[in-house]
Amino acid sequence: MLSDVDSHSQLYDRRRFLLQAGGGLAGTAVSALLHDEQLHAAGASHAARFDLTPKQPHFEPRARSVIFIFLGGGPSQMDLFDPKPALNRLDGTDAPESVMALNLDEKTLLKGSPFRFAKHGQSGMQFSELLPHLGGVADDLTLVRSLHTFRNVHGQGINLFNTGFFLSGYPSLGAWVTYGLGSENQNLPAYIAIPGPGRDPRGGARLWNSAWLPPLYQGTRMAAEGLPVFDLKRSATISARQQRQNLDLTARLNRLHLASHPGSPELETRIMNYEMAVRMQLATTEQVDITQETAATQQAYGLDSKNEKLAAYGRRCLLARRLIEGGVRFVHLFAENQVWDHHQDLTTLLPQRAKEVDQPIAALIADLKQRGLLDSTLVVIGGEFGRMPYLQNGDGRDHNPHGFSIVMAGGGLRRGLIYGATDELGYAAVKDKVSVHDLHATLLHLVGLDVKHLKYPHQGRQESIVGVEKVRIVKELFA
Amino acid sequence: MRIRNESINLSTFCLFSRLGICYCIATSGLKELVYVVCILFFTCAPLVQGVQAAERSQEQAFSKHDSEILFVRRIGPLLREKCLGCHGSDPDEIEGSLDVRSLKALKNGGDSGEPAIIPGKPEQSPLYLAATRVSNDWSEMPPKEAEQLTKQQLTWLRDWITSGAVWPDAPRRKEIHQDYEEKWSAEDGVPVKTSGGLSSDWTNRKYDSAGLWAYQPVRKPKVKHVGRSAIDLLIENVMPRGLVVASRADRRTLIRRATYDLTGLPPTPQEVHNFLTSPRPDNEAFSEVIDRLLKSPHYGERMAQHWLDVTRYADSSGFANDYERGNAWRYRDYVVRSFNEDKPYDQFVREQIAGDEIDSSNPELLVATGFLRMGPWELTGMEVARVARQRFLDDVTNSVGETFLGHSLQCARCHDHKFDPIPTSDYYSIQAVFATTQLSERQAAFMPHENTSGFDEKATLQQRKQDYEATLAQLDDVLLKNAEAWFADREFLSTKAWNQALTQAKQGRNNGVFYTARSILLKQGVPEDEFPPKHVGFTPQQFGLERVARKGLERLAWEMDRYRPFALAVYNGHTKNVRAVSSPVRIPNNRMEGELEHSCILTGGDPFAPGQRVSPGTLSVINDQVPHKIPIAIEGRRTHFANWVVDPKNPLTTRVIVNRIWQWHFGEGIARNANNFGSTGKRPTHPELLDWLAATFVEDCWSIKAMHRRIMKSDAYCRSTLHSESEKVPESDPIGIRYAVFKPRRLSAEELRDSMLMVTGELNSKLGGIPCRPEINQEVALQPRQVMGTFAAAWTPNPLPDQRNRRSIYVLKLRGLMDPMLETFNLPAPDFSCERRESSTVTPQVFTLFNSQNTYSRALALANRVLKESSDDHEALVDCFNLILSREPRGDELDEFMRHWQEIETMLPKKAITPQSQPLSVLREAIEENTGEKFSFEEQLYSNIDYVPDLLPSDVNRHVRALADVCLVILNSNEFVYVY
Repeated sequence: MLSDVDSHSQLYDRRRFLLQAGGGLAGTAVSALLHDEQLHAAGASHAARFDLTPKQPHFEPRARSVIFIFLGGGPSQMDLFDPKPALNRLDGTDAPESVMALNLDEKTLLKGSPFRFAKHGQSGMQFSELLPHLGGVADDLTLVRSLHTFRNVHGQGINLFNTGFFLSGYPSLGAWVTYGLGSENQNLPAYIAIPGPGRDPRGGARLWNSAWLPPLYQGTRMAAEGLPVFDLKRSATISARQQRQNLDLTARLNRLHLASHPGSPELETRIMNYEMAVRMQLATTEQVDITQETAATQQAYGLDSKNEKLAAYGRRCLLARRLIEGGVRFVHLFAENQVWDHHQDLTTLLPQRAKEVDQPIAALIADLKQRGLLDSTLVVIGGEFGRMPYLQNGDGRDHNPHGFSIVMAGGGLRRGLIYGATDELGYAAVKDKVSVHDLHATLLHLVGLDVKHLKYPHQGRQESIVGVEKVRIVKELFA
Repeated sequence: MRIRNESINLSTFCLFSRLGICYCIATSGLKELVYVVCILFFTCAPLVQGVQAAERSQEQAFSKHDSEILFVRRIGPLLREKCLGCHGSDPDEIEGSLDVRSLKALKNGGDSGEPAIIPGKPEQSPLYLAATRVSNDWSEMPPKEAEQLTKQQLTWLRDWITSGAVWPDAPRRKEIHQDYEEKWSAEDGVPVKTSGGLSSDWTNRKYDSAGLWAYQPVRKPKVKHVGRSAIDLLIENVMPRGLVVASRADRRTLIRRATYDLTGLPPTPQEVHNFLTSPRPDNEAFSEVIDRLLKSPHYGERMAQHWLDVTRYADSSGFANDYERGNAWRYRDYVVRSFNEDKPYDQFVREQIAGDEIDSSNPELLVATGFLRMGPWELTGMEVARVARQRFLDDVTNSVGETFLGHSLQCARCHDHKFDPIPTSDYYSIQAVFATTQLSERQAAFMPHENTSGFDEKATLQQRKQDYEATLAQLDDVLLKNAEAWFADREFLSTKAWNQALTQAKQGRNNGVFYTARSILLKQGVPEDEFPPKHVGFTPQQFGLERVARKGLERLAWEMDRYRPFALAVYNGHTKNVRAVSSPVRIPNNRMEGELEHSCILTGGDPFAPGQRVSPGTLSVINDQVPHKIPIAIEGRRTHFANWVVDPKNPLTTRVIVNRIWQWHFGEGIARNANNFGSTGKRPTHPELLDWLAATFVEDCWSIKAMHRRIMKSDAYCRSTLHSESEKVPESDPIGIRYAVFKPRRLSAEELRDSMLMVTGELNSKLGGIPCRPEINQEVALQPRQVMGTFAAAWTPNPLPDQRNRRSIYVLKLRGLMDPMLETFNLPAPDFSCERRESSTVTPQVFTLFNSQNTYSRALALANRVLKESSDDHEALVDCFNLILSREPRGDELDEFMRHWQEIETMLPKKAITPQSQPLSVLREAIEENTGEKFSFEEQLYSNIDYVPDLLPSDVNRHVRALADVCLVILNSNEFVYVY
């Protein structure tokens, strides 16, 4: 889509700087031309610039921003989203041969779900009793029950789900979206990652990294408690007035330097960044101030809950809404570590995990809707894989890459739709299967990006989030 | 438009266009291929017309002769490929009665009754209209969208009809074929001999010869240099006419440029002064500077940084555990030493690929093989061992390809290479070289030239170890008590066997008694319900503490290896059957235990889908030039492979390294994808120069320092970044590849940090040794970092300034925890080989450089230093400029900065605010994985007990603190951040 990054040769390329920064010609044609030049001219010093100004999508977007809620560990589909009466009936019997245990030594007895399912809303979407609040907004949700993946260990599965590749070191989905679309608000980070509460997710900062995309597209880590962004505030030893004076002197020194090195967009950008930083310092501090919300709103998200984890998660969801409202392109929410990984004691542990997120996520969806933001915001909720229909460790389930569910909501989706199905045991997706790559391509499509064109040259290859995989845009999900 | 016209041979292009043939060179995906073709065609059409207008009008552009040639070359095959299936191959089943097997049949047309083509009138020919897919009258052909004609093919069809739709008979077709075979073959591409692909189509496919440049033998161009460097002559040979080069840079600029390039540090004011005042001619004085810098021990550090970028150096293993690689630092220092010694590059390569085979008794050579271990790797019990082994083999195969041969080989893992002449069998043949290579932390005695100081820091690790052991001992007591309670609840059970096992377990040990007793009974076959279960009676807190202690000890074992005489290395042998690797691996007594791997092509890259067997081999595309003799014995494969790599006739190896060295000076290589010399990488801008450098490099006995001298003494390297007619340069050199001016660069992350430490006088310039831990953003340092089953230890800075203020190349590099300051300034993650640093300009860099505690500390130290070393305030300020910018203040600068200093001083409180100090412990809270309940523990940060801060604001007076603000401003200036 765009040409390769280039560093110091940019200093000499004012012409192209103006083309891109001016925006007038910065549409597809110019991008294609740059691309063409880069491919053709032997060793061309192509000097595309990267910035966060809004970019022209490839086609009319159905959503403008994304909230990607990642529940690491592998939430159990048959205990939350995908009722399996047959499995319940066969509880305790030998699993059929078609159900392959991941660990071949394991005795495979089927395990029914200990939780009741109920229909919700006009759509009749079924959720287990662990998700009453989500049930309350069922008619605004789109449920996909036919996800599948090809990695069955956490680290690799988590990488795949968040970056499109199972090894570390690839740009996250949020970085790709930001690369493709830029940002609506230049005073806030374009892509924000909110880990926790508690420990970072398995995989840590790499899950919101830009990898070899320009660092501009990297997720900014934001804390829901304490100072939101590293080094956002000036050092304690420097007062506001002092900082202003220092900034002014820096600007004067840099302008003087620019005068003797004219036509250097990078030097100019660096000067502008200092002013931008000051604005970002103010805007971000303002935008993350959830005390500005009414008590009713805070309660809806569960901020008053005695359950600390619930309240902390509610804070994250509320923060996500405020950031989206402020024009942030992509908010990446995480769960602690991989707490959705239930190899044992599922009957006691899963309800705890579900309780911590059910109310906050449902409140987020209702709140977005009430503010008219749900039409332009795409919400995705899911983990890296699902769980097995057979019993493990007395009361647990093993990882299952063959079939799992995700919940989506908002921008451009058919509301109340249940798409795809697993077999009667919930073991494998059998109808309208959706791979993780399909999911990524579909999400990009919803925000107006064509995965076939959202590419970036890396070491001579045109990379994309789906690599060389064939993908299907799941248009059946669209409204 | 102008850009492209220049880069393409005009006459060839016109001819192609006349036939409607446009060639697409260098694309990296099918999508782009189509894209580029279209753009090329349409943008160039007016040009063709213009050029030919004088000769003939467009209608006359195609003769009957053109038409019959176009038929043989394009239309015949096109009809066969796109139409014949339904329209003629089965004469009994011809769709719509339209037969495409002859001109007559086409003219007759099908069911519609209209002729399919009207010669001379494409716009009225249904065949053409149907193919355009935009006609209202004719349905789209071919029916499947995926098979639709490209614009290029449509153009051929149109041109053929326009030119009269000549359909030569068979003898004439044969004649045309014979006449044009050679020409077309050159246009279509050339066949390339390889060991052969999975299909004959692949084996016989043709390549655009331009994409094969890297496989051609290196030919040293003859250059008549009369007192000029060959480098300059080769650059000038292809300099666009009228492009005037910039003048020579001034001495101040040059010494800064050279010093940063060769050492990654700024020149000292004294060095600048000496050079500026040297009475010798410019080039001689500069030569002296180069020689001095090449002798500096910091030269090796700078070059090692480049090399470690390529080889992906890190001190940890990545993936879920991110275990520390305690011995990796010895490889890092080996690289620094090798550059400082100017080790011939061929030897450097041999040692890294096969050091252990060359001389396993030489620790240096064992350490060198750390190269093969640089990729992220682990084997947890959760993964199938064969899959993890394959990950290593894939990693090392690709790494060798990228690093030494400029070829990312991974593309040939699942199939024959899509673009390059690299069959998948070559990939697995190269992989077979490593099939007997086994990973090990091998014994390798410390050598006198290694820096082994600072090992006493392990005392703090010992403290942690004792803590963990104490926790486990306490928990053992808990379990023993709980066991009693467990039996008390089960009076029907006998405690006899248990008590006997306990007695036995207690012999010679005083911890882990409970688990030892359990395993004794398990071994005896006692039913599990007759003795207490593991973790009996644990509370969530105890569950959590047990896991933290157990995993903590496991992680410490890797860290403790740092101080022991072992090397991150390899040995040759069979592949042992191992389920998990959770501690350093030593060489087994019997290296032949386990499976001898027989390498196969893995279908689709799947380790469980072995295909055809392969023997150890090389890149077959150049085997004619560089034959190899790789044995199939367990030992020696890598040595022979390495010999093949560094054979002077290997056209890849020498070009790849001289191109890297060039890039280390000019910011960009002559071929701009230093890791990709295949057809998808960019072509060399100066192929002759590249070959001259490669050939000369071998003549110079593979000396890298000699290459630096040659490059740096060239006029091209010494040019100014400023040009007297700068606006004219892009006209002649729109994409900046002509070396008419020198291109400035932003300092790399490490240079930025190291320079700040250097100008403040805080830098400890000692070479090598165990990794250091500088202060990083405290939130990042203390954040809970999740690794498999527990938390990784918090980042604690070294206690003493001298220990932590070392060059950035020595900073502990954990894959899971990057210093955010370095990361913001484009430190590459060590997951991939980094062929070239990016240097972005983004807002968070301001937060890092302007707001962070770290930069402020540097500014304060600098203020303190200059005030101490100077006699008055003016001199102090001048010193700041000299230290940071290698120049004195100009014009009003001195006054302005003095004023700023004074103003800030009035704003500052008398008493300094002291920033927060290092905590001694950090509370960790988590959900315990067995119980799902919360548990917490306090992580003790022992090394912070002895922490001595850098200079604090409270250590100095207000005058110094105010000057710190001035220093902060200069450290944030563009002039400091860029090298010109």
